[in-house]
Amino acid sequence: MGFQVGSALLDACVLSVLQREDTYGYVLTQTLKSELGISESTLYPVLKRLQRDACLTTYDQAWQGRNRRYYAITEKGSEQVKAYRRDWESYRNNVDKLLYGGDLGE
Amino acid sequence: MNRAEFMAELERQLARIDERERAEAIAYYNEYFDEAGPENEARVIAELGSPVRVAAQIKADAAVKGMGKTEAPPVKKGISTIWIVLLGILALPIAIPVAIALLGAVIGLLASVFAVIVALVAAVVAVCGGGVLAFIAGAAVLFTHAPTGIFYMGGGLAATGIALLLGILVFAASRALVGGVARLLDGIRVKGRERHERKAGERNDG
Repeated sequence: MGFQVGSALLDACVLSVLQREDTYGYVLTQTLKSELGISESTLYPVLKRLQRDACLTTYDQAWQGRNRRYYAITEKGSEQVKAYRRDWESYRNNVDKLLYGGDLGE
Repeated sequence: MNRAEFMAELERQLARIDERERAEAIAYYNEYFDEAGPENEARVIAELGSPVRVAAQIKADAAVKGMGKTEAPPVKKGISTIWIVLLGILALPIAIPVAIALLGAVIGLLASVFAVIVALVAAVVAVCGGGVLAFIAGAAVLFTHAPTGIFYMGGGLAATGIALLLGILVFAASRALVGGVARLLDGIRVKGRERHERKAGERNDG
Protein backbone atom coordinates (compact mmCIF):
# COMPACT_ATOMS: atom_id res chain seq x y z
CA MET A 1 0.00 0.00 0.00
CA GLY A 2 1.25 3.44 -0.89
CA PHE A 3 0.05 5.10 2.30
CA GLN A 4 2.02 5.18 5.52
CA VAL A 5 0.02 4.10 8.55
CA GLY A 6 0.72 6.47 11.44
CA SER A 7 0.76 5.42 15.06
CA ALA A 8 -2.64 6.94 15.90
CA LEU A 9 -4.33 5.09 13.06
CA LEU A 10 -2.55 1.88 14.00
CA ASP A 11 -3.63 2.26 17.65
CA ALA A 12 -7.21 2.86 16.50
CA CYS A 13 -7.18 -0.24 14.29
CA VAL A 14 -5.64 -2.49 16.96
CA LEU A 15 -8.15 -1.36 19.57
CA SER A 16 -11.07 -1.75 17.16
CA VAL A 17 -10.06 -5.31 16.27
CA LEU A 18 -9.78 -6.10 19.98
CA GLN A 19 -13.20 -4.58 20.57
CA ARG A 20 -14.69 -7.37 18.47
CA GLU A 21 -12.89 -10.11 20.38
CA ASP A 22 -9.82 -10.85 22.49
CA THR A 23 -7.03 -12.32 20.44
CA TYR A 24 -3.31 -13.07 20.47
CA GLY A 25 -0.32 -11.48 18.79
CA TYR A 26 -0.09 -13.70 15.73
CA VAL A 27 -3.72 -13.38 14.66
CA LEU A 28 -3.71 -9.65 15.37
CA THR A 29 -0.60 -9.19 13.26
CA GLN A 30 -1.95 -11.25 10.37
CA THR A 31 -5.25 -9.35 10.42
CA LEU A 32 -3.59 -5.93 10.35
CA LYS A 33 -0.98 -7.08 7.90
CA SER A 34 -3.55 -8.16 5.34
CA GLU A 35 -5.63 -4.98 5.76
CA LEU A 36 -2.97 -2.31 6.27
CA GLY A 37 0.21 -3.93 4.95
CA ILE A 38 2.17 -3.31 8.14
CA SER A 39 5.29 -5.41 8.72
CA GLU A 40 5.33 -8.28 11.20
CA SER A 41 7.57 -6.53 13.69
CA THR A 42 5.49 -3.34 13.91
CA LEU A 43 2.89 -4.57 16.32
CA TYR A 44 4.85 -5.58 19.41
CA PRO A 45 5.88 -2.05 20.43
CA VAL A 46 2.35 -0.82 19.68
CA LEU A 47 0.84 -3.47 21.97
CA LYS A 48 3.35 -2.62 24.69
CA ARG A 49 2.49 1.05 24.48
CA LEU A 50 -1.27 0.47 24.55
CA GLN A 51 -0.82 -1.83 27.52
CA ARG A 52 1.26 0.78 29.33
CA ASP A 53 -1.40 3.40 28.63
CA ALA A 54 -3.99 1.02 30.16
CA CYS A 55 -5.92 0.81 26.87
CA LEU A 56 -5.55 -2.96 26.86
CA THR A 57 -4.71 -5.79 29.26
CA THR A 58 -3.28 -9.24 28.70
CA TYR A 59 -4.01 -12.68 30.05
CA ASP A 60 -2.32 -16.00 29.41
CA GLN A 61 -4.08 -19.16 28.27
CA ALA A 62 -2.54 -22.58 27.82
CA TRP A 63 -2.98 -23.99 24.34
CA GLN A 64 -1.50 -27.32 23.18
CA GLY A 65 1.04 -27.38 25.97
CA ARG A 66 2.30 -23.85 25.55
CA ASN A 67 1.23 -20.34 26.35
CA ARG A 68 -0.91 -17.95 24.35
CA ARG A 69 -0.99 -14.35 25.47
CA TYR A 70 -4.36 -12.79 24.74
CA TYR A 71 -4.93 -9.07 24.47
CA ALA A 72 -8.20 -7.54 25.67
CA ILE A 73 -9.46 -3.97 25.39
CA THR A 74 -10.16 -2.01 28.58
CA GLU A 75 -12.77 0.60 29.45
CA LYS A 76 -10.22 3.30 28.75
CA GLY A 77 -9.34 1.67 25.43
CA SER A 78 -13.02 1.73 24.39
CA GLU A 79 -13.21 5.44 25.20
CA GLN A 80 -10.09 5.93 23.13
CA VAL A 81 -11.66 4.12 20.19
CA LYS A 82 -14.67 6.45 20.31
CA ALA A 83 -12.38 9.47 20.16
CA TYR A 84 -10.36 7.91 17.34
CA ARG A 85 -13.54 7.23 15.35
CA ARG A 86 -14.64 10.86 15.65
CA ASP A 87 -11.20 12.02 14.53
CA TRP A 88 -11.16 9.55 11.70
CA GLU A 89 -14.55 10.60 10.36
CA SER A 90 -13.59 14.26 10.09
CA TYR A 91 -10.19 13.37 8.68
CA ARG A 92 -11.73 11.04 6.11
CA ASN A 93 -14.25 13.69 5.07
CA ASN A 94 -11.47 16.20 4.53
CA VAL A 95 -9.40 13.76 2.49
CA ASP A 96 -12.47 12.78 0.47
CA LYS A 97 -13.10 16.42 -0.36
CA LEU A 98 -9.52 16.80 -1.56
CA LEU A 99 -9.45 13.55 -3.50
CA TYR A 100 -12.89 13.60 -5.11
CA GLY A 101 -13.57 17.31 -5.26
CA GLY A 102 -16.42 19.17 -3.65
CA ASP A 103 -16.84 22.46 -1.96
CA LEU A 104 -13.68 23.26 -0.01
CA GLY A 105 -14.81 26.78 0.89
CA GLU A 106 -17.35 25.82 3.54
CA MET B 1 19.32 -17.82 9.63
CA ASN B 2 16.89 -20.15 11.40
CA ARG B 3 14.54 -19.54 14.29
CA ALA B 4 17.05 -20.43 17.00
CA GLU B 5 19.69 -18.15 15.52
CA PHE B 6 17.17 -15.35 15.10
CA MET B 7 16.03 -15.61 18.73
CA ALA B 8 19.60 -15.84 20.04
CA GLU B 9 20.59 -12.73 18.09
CA LEU B 10 17.46 -10.89 19.23
CA GLU B 11 18.23 -11.72 22.84
CA ARG B 12 21.79 -10.50 22.44
CA GLN B 13 20.58 -7.26 20.88
CA LEU B 14 18.24 -6.73 23.83
CA ALA B 15 20.93 -7.41 26.43
CA ARG B 16 20.88 -3.84 27.68
CA ILE B 17 17.18 -3.32 28.30
CA ASP B 18 15.30 -4.15 31.48
CA GLU B 19 15.25 -7.89 32.20
CA ARG B 20 11.45 -8.14 32.37
CA GLU B 21 10.99 -6.19 29.13
CA ARG B 22 13.46 -8.51 27.45
CA ALA B 23 11.76 -11.66 28.76
CA GLU B 24 8.37 -10.38 27.52
CA ALA B 25 9.70 -9.55 24.08
CA ILE B 26 11.40 -12.94 23.78
CA ALA B 27 8.23 -14.70 24.93
CA TYR B 28 6.19 -12.73 22.38
CA TYR B 29 8.38 -13.68 19.45
CA ASN B 30 8.71 -17.29 20.60
CA GLU B 31 4.93 -17.50 20.72
CA TYR B 32 4.79 -15.82 17.33
CA PHE B 33 7.02 -18.50 15.80
CA ASP B 34 4.98 -21.22 17.51
CA GLU B 35 1.73 -19.83 16.07
CA ALA B 36 3.19 -19.45 12.60
CA GLY B 37 4.30 -23.09 12.69
CA PRO B 38 7.54 -24.60 11.44
CA GLU B 39 6.32 -24.51 7.84
CA ASN B 40 6.18 -20.70 7.98
CA GLU B 41 9.43 -20.24 9.89
CA ALA B 42 11.43 -19.03 6.88
CA ARG B 43 8.67 -16.64 5.77
CA VAL B 44 8.35 -15.13 9.27
CA ILE B 45 12.10 -14.60 9.53
CA ALA B 46 12.19 -13.00 6.08
CA GLU B 47 9.33 -10.64 6.95
CA LEU B 48 10.63 -9.75 10.41
CA GLY B 49 13.89 -8.75 8.83
CA SER B 50 17.07 -8.56 10.83
CA PRO B 51 16.95 -9.14 14.61
CA VAL B 52 18.85 -5.86 14.93
CA ARG B 53 15.93 -3.98 13.40
CA VAL B 54 13.33 -5.83 15.48
CA ALA B 55 15.38 -5.10 18.61
CA ALA B 56 15.71 -1.45 17.63
CA GLN B 57 11.93 -1.09 17.52
CA ILE B 58 11.64 -2.64 20.98
CA LYS B 59 14.47 -0.56 22.37
CA ALA B 60 13.06 2.67 20.95
CA ASP B 61 9.83 1.93 22.78
CA ALA B 62 11.67 1.10 26.02
CA ALA B 63 13.56 4.38 25.76
CA VAL B 64 10.34 6.35 25.39
CA LYS B 65 9.07 4.67 28.54
CA GLY B 66 12.26 5.55 30.40
CA MET B 67 11.90 9.16 29.37
CA GLY B 68 8.44 9.36 30.87
CA LYS B 69 9.74 8.08 34.20
CA THR B 70 12.54 10.60 34.70
CA GLU B 71 10.51 13.55 33.58
CA ALA B 72 12.25 16.78 34.58
CA PRO B 73 10.42 18.77 37.26
CA PRO B 74 8.46 21.65 35.80
CA VAL B 75 10.46 24.86 35.93
CA LYS B 76 8.58 27.97 37.00
CA LYS B 77 9.20 31.00 34.88
CA GLY B 78 9.01 33.44 37.80
CA ILE B 79 12.75 33.86 38.39
CA SER B 80 14.45 36.28 36.06
CA THR B 81 17.34 35.16 33.89
CA ILE B 82 19.56 37.97 35.21
CA TRP B 83 19.47 36.52 38.74
CA ILE B 84 20.44 33.08 37.48
CA VAL B 85 23.36 34.56 35.51
CA LEU B 86 24.45 36.62 38.54
CA LEU B 87 24.23 33.53 40.76
CA GLY B 88 26.31 31.63 38.23
CA ILE B 89 29.00 34.34 38.18
CA LEU B 90 29.13 34.48 41.99
CA ALA B 91 29.41 30.70 42.17
CA LEU B 92 32.33 30.57 39.71
CA PRO B 93 35.14 30.85 42.35
CA ILE B 94 33.75 27.72 44.02
CA ALA B 95 32.53 25.89 40.93
CA ILE B 96 35.80 26.04 38.97
CA PRO B 97 38.08 24.50 41.66
CA VAL B 98 35.42 21.85 42.36
CA ALA B 99 35.21 21.05 38.66
CA ILE B 100 39.01 20.83 38.41
CA ALA B 101 39.18 18.56 41.45
CA LEU B 102 36.46 16.32 40.01
CA LEU B 103 38.24 16.19 36.66
CA GLY B 104 41.48 15.28 38.46
CA ALA B 105 39.74 12.49 40.35
CA VAL B 106 38.25 11.08 37.15
CA ILE B 107 41.63 11.24 35.35
CA GLY B 108 43.30 9.58 38.35
CA LEU B 109 40.74 6.82 38.36
CA LEU B 110 41.13 6.21 34.62
CA ALA B 111 44.95 6.26 34.92
CA SER B 112 44.97 3.74 37.76
CA VAL B 113 42.61 1.42 35.92
CA PHE B 114 44.82 1.68 32.86
CA ALA B 115 47.93 0.99 34.95
CA VAL B 116 46.38 -2.10 36.53
CA ILE B 117 45.41 -3.47 33.12
CA VAL B 118 48.87 -2.78 31.68
CA ALA B 119 50.55 -4.46 34.69
CA LEU B 120 48.33 -7.55 34.36
CA VAL B 121 48.97 -7.81 30.63
CA ALA B 122 52.72 -7.37 31.20
CA ALA B 123 52.70 -10.13 33.82
CA VAL B 124 50.88 -12.52 31.47
CA VAL B 125 53.24 -11.71 28.61
CA ALA B 126 56.25 -12.22 30.90
CA VAL B 127 55.07 -15.63 32.13
CA CYS B 128 54.19 -16.66 28.58
CA GLY B 129 57.58 -15.50 27.25
CA GLY B 130 59.42 -17.21 30.09
CA GLY B 131 57.57 -20.43 29.35
CA VAL B 132 58.50 -20.28 25.66
CA LEU B 133 62.16 -19.55 26.52
CA ALA B 134 62.27 -22.40 29.03
CA PHE B 135 60.84 -24.73 26.38
CA ILE B 136 63.48 -23.64 23.85
CA ALA B 137 66.26 -23.97 26.43
CA GLY B 138 64.99 -27.45 27.37
CA ALA B 139 64.94 -28.49 23.70
CA ALA B 140 68.53 -27.26 23.30
CA VAL B 141 69.91 -29.44 26.11
CA LEU B 142 67.57 -32.38 25.40
CA PHE B 143 70.27 -34.44 23.68
CA THR B 144 73.12 -33.57 26.05
CA HIS B 145 71.16 -34.11 29.26
CA ALA B 146 67.73 -35.58 28.63
CA PRO B 147 66.15 -35.25 32.15
CA THR B 148 67.05 -31.56 32.39
CA GLY B 149 65.80 -30.95 28.85
CA ILE B 150 62.47 -32.67 29.51
CA PHE B 151 62.13 -30.85 32.83
CA TYR B 152 62.58 -27.43 31.22
CA MET B 153 60.41 -28.28 28.24
CA GLY B 154 57.59 -29.48 30.51
CA GLY B 155 57.95 -26.51 32.81
CA GLY B 156 57.93 -24.16 29.84
CA LEU B 157 54.79 -25.70 28.37
CA ALA B 158 53.04 -25.55 31.74
CA ALA B 159 54.00 -21.90 32.23
CA THR B 160 52.80 -20.99 28.73
CA GLY B 161 49.52 -22.80 29.30
CA ILE B 162 48.95 -21.08 32.63
CA ALA B 163 49.82 -17.73 31.06
CA LEU B 164 47.25 -18.27 28.29
CA LEU B 165 44.57 -19.17 30.84
CA LEU B 166 45.51 -16.14 32.91
CA GLY B 167 45.38 -14.07 29.73
CA ILE B 168 41.72 -15.01 29.26
CA LEU B 169 41.01 -14.10 32.89
CA VAL B 170 42.87 -10.80 32.56
CA PHE B 171 40.94 -9.99 29.39
CA ALA B 172 37.62 -10.66 31.12
CA ALA B 173 38.70 -8.74 34.23
CA SER B 174 39.82 -5.78 32.14
CA ARG B 175 36.52 -5.66 30.34
CA ALA B 176 34.62 -5.82 33.61
CA LEU B 177 36.85 -3.13 35.11
CA VAL B 178 36.43 -0.77 32.16
CA GLY B 179 32.69 -1.44 32.07
CA GLY B 180 32.43 -0.82 35.82
CA VAL B 181 34.27 2.47 35.59
CA ALA B 182 32.13 3.55 32.64
CA ARG B 183 28.97 2.77 34.60
CA LEU B 184 30.34 4.57 37.66
CA LEU B 185 31.12 7.71 35.68
CA ASP B 186 27.76 7.51 33.97
CA GLY B 187 26.09 7.15 37.37
CA ILE B 188 27.91 10.21 38.72
CA ARG B 189 26.91 12.20 35.66
CA VAL B 190 23.24 11.23 35.90
CA LYS B 191 23.11 11.78 39.68
CA GLY B 192 24.79 15.14 39.28
CA ARG B 193 22.23 16.19 36.73
CA GLU B 194 19.34 14.98 38.87
CA ARG B 195 20.67 16.86 41.87
CA HIS B 196 21.13 19.91 39.73
CA GLU B 197 17.54 19.71 38.53
CA ARG B 198 16.24 19.15 42.05
CA LYS B 199 18.18 22.16 43.30
CA ALA B 200 16.83 24.26 40.47
CA GLY B 201 13.33 23.16 41.43
CA GLU B 202 13.86 24.05 45.11
CA ARG B 203 15.37 27.38 44.25
CA ASN B 204 12.40 28.25 42.11
CA ASP B 205 9.94 27.13 44.75
CA GLY B 206 11.59 29.33 47.41
